[in-house]
This record gives sequence, structure tokens and C-alpha cells, in this order.
Amino acid sequence: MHTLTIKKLWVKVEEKEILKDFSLELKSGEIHAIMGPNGVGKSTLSKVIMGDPVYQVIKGDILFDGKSILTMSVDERARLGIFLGMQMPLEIEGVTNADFMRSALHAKEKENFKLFEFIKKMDHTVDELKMNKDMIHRGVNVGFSGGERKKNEILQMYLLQPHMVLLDEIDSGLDVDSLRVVGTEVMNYYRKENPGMLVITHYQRLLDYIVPDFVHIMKDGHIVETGGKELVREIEAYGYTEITKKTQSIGTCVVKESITHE
Amino acid sequence: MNRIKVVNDIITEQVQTDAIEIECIPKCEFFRVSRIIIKIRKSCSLELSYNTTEETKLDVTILVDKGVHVNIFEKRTGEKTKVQYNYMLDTDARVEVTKFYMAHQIRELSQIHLNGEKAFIDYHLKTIASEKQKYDVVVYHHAKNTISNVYHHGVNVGSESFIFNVTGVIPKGNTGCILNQQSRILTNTLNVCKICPNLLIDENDVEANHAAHIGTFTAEELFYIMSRGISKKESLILLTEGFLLGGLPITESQHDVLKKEVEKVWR
Repeated sequence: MHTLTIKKLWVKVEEKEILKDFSLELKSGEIHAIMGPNGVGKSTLSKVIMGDPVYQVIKGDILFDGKSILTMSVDERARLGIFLGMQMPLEIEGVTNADFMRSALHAKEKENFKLFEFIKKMDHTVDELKMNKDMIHRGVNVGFSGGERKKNEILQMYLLQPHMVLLDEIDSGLDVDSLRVVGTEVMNYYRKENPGMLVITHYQRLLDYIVPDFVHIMKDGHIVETGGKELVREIEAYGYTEITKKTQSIGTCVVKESITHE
Repeated sequence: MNRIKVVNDIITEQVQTDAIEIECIPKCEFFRVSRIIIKIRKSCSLELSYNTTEETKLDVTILVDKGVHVNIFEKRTGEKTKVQYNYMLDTDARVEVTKFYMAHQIRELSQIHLNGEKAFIDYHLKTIASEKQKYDVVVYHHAKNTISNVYHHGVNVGSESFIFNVTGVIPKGNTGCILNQQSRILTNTLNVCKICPNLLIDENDVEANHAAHIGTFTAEELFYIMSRGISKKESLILLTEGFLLGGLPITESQHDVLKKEVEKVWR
């Protein structure tokens, strides 16, 4: 059982505060969805957890199993078992997927790394994700369609077997079929490995496959509303503006209650 | 596979088929530079390996006959070197050159003469510079419908001066030529790095492109790789390998040899 705790986090980038007093606790086996309009700090949250040096933590803490990870580098956090599936996975020319993943697994497993097992596992997962086998020997994400890039992120997740999975708009750029494959495979991984999951998305469609235990709405750098899956339908029906207005009219005690519920 | 091994300016090992002829003119009172002339008569592969243990000057001429296709792989290691290359391509000759340098100081001039119609050259230079290096490449499109693709990729790991001068020449009347240049330097230092792309074109009916970039690996690239648990040092090795070795027309075993050389630099 692992726990990722974000405690009253304040984050800025280039003198602009993005996250303001953000708190959340994510445990193994829980799926949290974060929704909210553009520019409220959803992607920032995932990158700050991963340790992107572009973002500066002003106050607060991020704890993994009770220990602060703020001073840890990106790779150290990844080796703890935190994985970020990115919204816009980068193209890295010249570095093949096979080399990339072999290096990543070698870094994780060190002397226990076995090349043959890695090849077998990679082959098997590529089949499961209905990916083209050629992509193993192609540059990381080079010439990949939007869907292939997202599948590639999921492939990496399967190979690295993280304890905490952060998925930043993993549904963007996916057609209906690819969304089903990605959503189903994420859930298969969840059932198998029981990780904690933080899913950032704009749309209900992803959450039809990845069913969240908690849904949070973010605004102005913090969570303003928390609920269950039904909140997603409310958002689809009324939009963020109406939902957050409702929250404001009820008063801050509702917000506080939601945060306590987390 | 034809193989030539040169130590300083002397050929020490030579494995050749009837596809190539090699002539070596040692330096003497009149010629102060050793000359190696390689005539390529039939389609083949050629591997050249140079190692210099002392300051060396060398003149290499490579003549490629009509209709011959050749893949030349060249690896250079060692000390201070001055080299001049002349590539002479006849009609329909097709040459793929891959040069991988890990030497210290280098001053190199390569003149590529596309003498016959439809002559084609793909020229890749990959180098890791720890000391002063300067490369001049001049491609002369002497005939119609000739094609040249020149790629220079260098990583500066401490060189105080690192320069690529790439010039393409197409005289009036040589229609249908295609000339591409792409030069990139990655540097982690504030030392001088220069790329001078020159297109000297006197004919309208040609296609010419050039791209030049000096910079470093981006923070986003490092973040992405490190987010999979790979340390910063290993990420830099991976990115350097990708930058220098990606997409090269070389065999797997040549790739493995070069990979080990790149790793040596960072470890």
C-alpha cells in the first residue's frame, strides 16, 4: 500500500502562482479524476508531482509514503514508482523505443535486469495494445500519430509497473477506437497492479473506461468541489461555470467538506 | 567488405577486393603530405579507420566510377590531424559517406566533385569535439541533375572553437540539381561554435535547402527521459547517442562500436 500526499502546495512559474494551497491524498487502489477549465493548473499539478524543475514550489509539501520528495530529482521520483503519462509526449529523434525502455528498466532493476525477459514483455505488451511492432525500433514518438503516442505512454507504464500513475489528458488526440484500447488497458493495469491513479481530463468519455472513485474540480489553482462519478455527469450537463457558481453560492464550508472527504 | 586501416599517415592494414584500387604516395622532399588515392571500380562497401598518435597531415582522394554505388564508413580517433579529402563522382555514381570522429584537434577540408550527371552523395559527419575542430565542406555540382545531402552533427564537450563551414556550388546551366545541407551543434559550453552555410547558386532550376542549429538538449527532452527513471547522466548519453547515431546508414555492429565510443565520453 502506497500513499501520495500533497499538502497545502503553492507553486509558481515565472513569478505567476499556478497552484494555490492545493491538497490531495492518493492511495493505492484509488482512482481520482481531476477536471476543470483550461489554465487552472491541472497539468502543472502532474508535472510538479513528477519534479519538473520549471516549476517552483513556494510552500507546502509532496509526500510519498510519508516522506517528502520535494528535494528528489525527476528520475529519483520515477524510480520510487511515480509515473506521468504526458499530454504531449515528446519526439526524441535517434533514440529508439527499445533503447529508451531498456535504459529505463535497467535504471529501475539494476543488476536484476534481464534482457530476454524485457524483450518478451515488450513484445507481449505491444500486442496487447494493438501497436505496430515496427514502433519498437523507431525513434521515441517520431512520426507517431496522436493515438500511437498515447499508446506508447501506456506501453511504458506497463513496462515500468509504477505504484502511482498520473495521466495528463491521456485522451486528447485519440479516436474512439484508440480511446477504448487505451482506457481498457489502463484499467487492466489498474486491476492487475492496484496502483493509485490521478487522471486529468476534460471529458466524460475517458471516465467511461477509467471509472474514478473521486472526481475533483479545480479552479484557480486548487480543488473547489469533490464528488463521485455523478459529478462528471453534472459537469457535462451544466459546465464548469455553473457547477463552480453553485459551489460558491453554497459557501466555503462545502469546499472545506470536500477537501476533508479527500 | 573492403577495409583500410591508417595509423598516422601510413596504411597498416588493407583488406580489399577487386572493387577498389589503392595507391599510396608517401610524403617526401617534394610532397610534404602523404597521399592516399582510392579508386572505386565496382559497387561495394569500404571501411576506413584512422588513428593518429602524433600530429598528422593527410590527403585522401576517392574516385568513384560511372554507375558505381559505394558505402563508405570512416572512423577517426587520436591526436592533432589535418586532412584534405577529394571525392570525385562520375555519372550515376552513388556514394553514402558516414564519418564518425572522436579525435582531438581536427582541421578538415572536404571537396566533393559531382562530375557526372545524376551523381549522388549522402554525406554524414558526426563528431564529438573536446578540442579545436574546423570542418570545411565544399560541394561542386559540376553536372546536371546531381544531388548532394550534407549532414554535419557535432557535440561540443569542451572544444574552445568548433566550426562547420558548408558550401554548395551550382554553376549556371546545371539544371535539375538538388542540394541539401543540415548542420547541428549541441554544446554545453559557452565556447565558440559556428555554422556557416553557403549556397552559391547561379542557376534557377535547382532545389536547395539549408538548416543550421546550435543549442543544447532541451529541458523538456531531459524531463521526459528522466521521468522514466533514467538519471541525468544516462539521459545525456542516450540523447547524444540518438543525436549522433540516429538514422545512419551503418550496420548493427558498426553502430555498437560507435555507441561504446559515445559512452566513453560521458562516463
